[in-house]
Amino acid sequence: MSGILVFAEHRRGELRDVSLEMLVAAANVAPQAGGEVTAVLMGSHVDGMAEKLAGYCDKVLYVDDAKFENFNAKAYQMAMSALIKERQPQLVFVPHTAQGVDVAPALAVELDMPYVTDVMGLSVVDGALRPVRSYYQGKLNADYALKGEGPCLLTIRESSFVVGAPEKKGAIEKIASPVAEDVVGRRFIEYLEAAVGDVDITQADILVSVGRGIKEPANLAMIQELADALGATISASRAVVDAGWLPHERQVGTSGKTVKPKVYLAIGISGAFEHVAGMKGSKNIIAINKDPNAPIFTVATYGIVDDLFKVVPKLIEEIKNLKAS
Amino acid sequence: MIFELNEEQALIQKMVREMAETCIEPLGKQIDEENNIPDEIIEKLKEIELFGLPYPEELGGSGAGYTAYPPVIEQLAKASSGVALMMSVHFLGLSAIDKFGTQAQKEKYIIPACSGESILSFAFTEPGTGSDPKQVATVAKKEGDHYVLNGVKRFISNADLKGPIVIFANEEEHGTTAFIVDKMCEGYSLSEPWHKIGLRGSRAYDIFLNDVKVPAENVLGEVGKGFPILQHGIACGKCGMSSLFLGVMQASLEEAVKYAQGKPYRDKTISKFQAIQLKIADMASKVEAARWLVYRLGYLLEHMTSMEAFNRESALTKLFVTDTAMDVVRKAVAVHGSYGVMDEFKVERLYRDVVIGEQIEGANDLQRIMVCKGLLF
Amino acid sequence: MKILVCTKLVPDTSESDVSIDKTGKDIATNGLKFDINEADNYAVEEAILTREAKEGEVDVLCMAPQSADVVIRMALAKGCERALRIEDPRVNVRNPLQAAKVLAAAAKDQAYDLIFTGCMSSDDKNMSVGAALAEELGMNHAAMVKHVEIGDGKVTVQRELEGGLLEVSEVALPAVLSVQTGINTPRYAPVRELRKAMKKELKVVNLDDIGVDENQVNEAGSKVELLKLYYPEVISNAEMIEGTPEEKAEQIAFKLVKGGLL
Repeated sequence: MSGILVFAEHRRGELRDVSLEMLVAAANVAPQAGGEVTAVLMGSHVDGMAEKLAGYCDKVLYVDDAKFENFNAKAYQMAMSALIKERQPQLVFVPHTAQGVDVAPALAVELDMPYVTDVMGLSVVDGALRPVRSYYQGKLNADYALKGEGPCLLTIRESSFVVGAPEKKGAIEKIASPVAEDVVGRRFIEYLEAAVGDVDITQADILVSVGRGIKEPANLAMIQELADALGATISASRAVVDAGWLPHERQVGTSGKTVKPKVYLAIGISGAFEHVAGMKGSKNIIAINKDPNAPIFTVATYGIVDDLFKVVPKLIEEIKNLKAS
Repeated sequence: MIFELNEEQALIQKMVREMAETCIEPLGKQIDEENNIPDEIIEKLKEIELFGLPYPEELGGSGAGYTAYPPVIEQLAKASSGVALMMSVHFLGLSAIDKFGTQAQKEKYIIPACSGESILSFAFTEPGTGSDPKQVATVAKKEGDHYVLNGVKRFISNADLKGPIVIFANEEEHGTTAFIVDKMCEGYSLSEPWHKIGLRGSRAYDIFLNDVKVPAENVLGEVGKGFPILQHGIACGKCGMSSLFLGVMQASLEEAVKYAQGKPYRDKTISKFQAIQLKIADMASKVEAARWLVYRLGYLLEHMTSMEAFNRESALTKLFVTDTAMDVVRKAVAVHGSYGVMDEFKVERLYRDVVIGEQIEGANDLQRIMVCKGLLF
Repeated sequence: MKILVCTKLVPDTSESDVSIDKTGKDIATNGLKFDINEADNYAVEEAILTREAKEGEVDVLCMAPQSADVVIRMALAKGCERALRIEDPRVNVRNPLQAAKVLAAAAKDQAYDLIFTGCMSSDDKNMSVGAALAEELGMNHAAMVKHVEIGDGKVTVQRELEGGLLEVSEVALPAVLSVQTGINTPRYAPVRELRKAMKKELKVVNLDDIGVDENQVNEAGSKVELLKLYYPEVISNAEMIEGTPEEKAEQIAFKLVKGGLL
């Protein structure tokens, strides 16, 4: 039993970033897992993606089968299960994404694997692998030990491992589809774009983004005034959208949009991982939050620990003054 | 002796808290500023069947009894004292009909009131008298099978909302009598709302009664025997008001804690300073003392043995709770420093709410006299 | 249609500090408020909406101590018919696969057509119990469900993917659906229903009652071990702006307008 099997994720003909991130994570701990990192790519006409993966691993196995063109939890589980049984890897990586969590838990039960989810770090202590995950909205971390024999299944959190330039030239091997029979019980139908509104926050240069700290929808008027003064667009965290105060098209984060504006003003946003993942690529991040321990400050360029209701009115006034002068 | 809500009451309290936090709290400031309760909130209160909370299911009520009443009003008041006041006055009027009404009156008035289709009012106070029934200047004159009412009532809540109102008038032969009058009937008109300092959202009006015709069957209780109805109503009103101010002070405690934990001073928050901690501790113990006095009053209202005893209990509860609330909210403002009197902070609103406590439903000095009954005279 | 909804009791730590207890493997729960897991609240509503549209019965299942009864009664008041609470301190609830195994044992004899769970719990966030439960019971499943349409012997679901994209898939019944927050608007149970809920069946069972071997679901039987909890190292390169609120606002305004940030 050796090596690491990494199941790559793609959608609508595009390899998702997390696939390479998982390979980077795997390469870091490959010596402890018997050396080889193998990427598994299941799809239809995916040779281009296989090339890309090859830059980050020792081997790429790819399956060309229309069953895998779009994600189908049932088909994926059947294929993964067959490949794991056949190859007996020490470790199996699956992304902790909407696709990954739709298949990994069932797979772990089926094969009775040691299973740790949402892994954001991997350390090695005395030769043993220690997956790291977080609890309580990121307030605590936990180190895990994997007991018993492999294969062990880990789901890997997005944006947790930094991908550099490709340095490897893994062998690419096309393999037969592990799923010969028809897949019953689940059928992919189509993708639906979330309702398109009149605003595209991904195109904005400046975003004024609000979170739970805004307290009530009436206070959005103040935020709008700030956005107007800056010539900015308003976006929001999930809490504000779930409350119905702003439409979904304004949501930043893993289940919303990923934005990279020149300036991202985070107002009353604590900075849960899901939010940060959608905005940390912004050029400048200004965070205003009452809680000095709010995770948003870890990604901020400038931070203000204070009451937003005291800072924002003055900020509006100052911006207007400076722009007028 | 069991000092806790039973499972059912705790469940009701939890539901109301969740609803109030989600649906009322975000509108709390707006309700205060506009002195208006949006229809959507009244719809929500109907949906969760709060308008008939204590009354039996046979009359369309929710059957939870009066013990559940204080914990519910407390939760509403934390989000909006105006909403709590509206509900409290509704129950005040309803309790009078429930206690003194005929079966026919109950069926006619309590059933639609329990669904929230009608909202009750209760009118005793006049320009010339606050609490003395002998001074009532509104007159009721019998004419055949009905009475004709003339007079002015002051500071009446819910007076503009559709539904019945219990009005006290001086029946020319027999004295103080309670009548059930349909609001908005002919001859019933309203002043502009008073500009209140607090408890805003529920508006207070003067009511003008000009030859208001009331059928004889709408006399509540007996002619000339309005005083016990008034006493009972006021005592129920004190239960509602005590619950309301309990909610106000609980909210101020929570605001103070939140502020203290968030307000930085040098390299820590002000919650780390003893001067703040001592205030918070005083507030917490006072709120708890008040809570159990109010919850007990709800229990006594449900299991009332003697009206006289209940009058005294309601007087001492209202006295203690409103005085304590004043003290607790003032401390909450002190924790906030100057920000505490700025309208960006909720305690500013709570502070304006709480000053009404000493005056409403009988000034506290009157309560003191009532408490002395049985002790000194 | 026979429906089950699984709920979990979680501490509200969104605005409070979390401290580690003496074992180093759990948190000190004193002072924390426990309530229904947010996504599970939506799952309860979705189960009841489904029942209202298709008739049948909804049971609610919860593995928790007695303090969860208020949460369970609330689900009953909203429209669930019967409740089962599993109370057994031997269960290693931190491991989602072991938790699913216990839930499956409690559900297996009931022949449910549809099981709803929340897509994640706010404390552990494994996002795993739904699919694991399905596998244990030999049912189909879908995770991150944001919309459900019940068909004949199947459901059509919209799953929420990254970036706001929705995946439409068909899942044959019986199935477990893990629902995402925002899928519906959870109702508030009216007072009379709350009172009725007090009289509905709430059965309490332990591992022995549902025929689960404790060695499979206790800590010793777990294939992974939580070694320790610790506070994450906070790495921040943020330049913190100091001063009064007004001074802070001035500095930021200057950086924005004159400092070239725009």
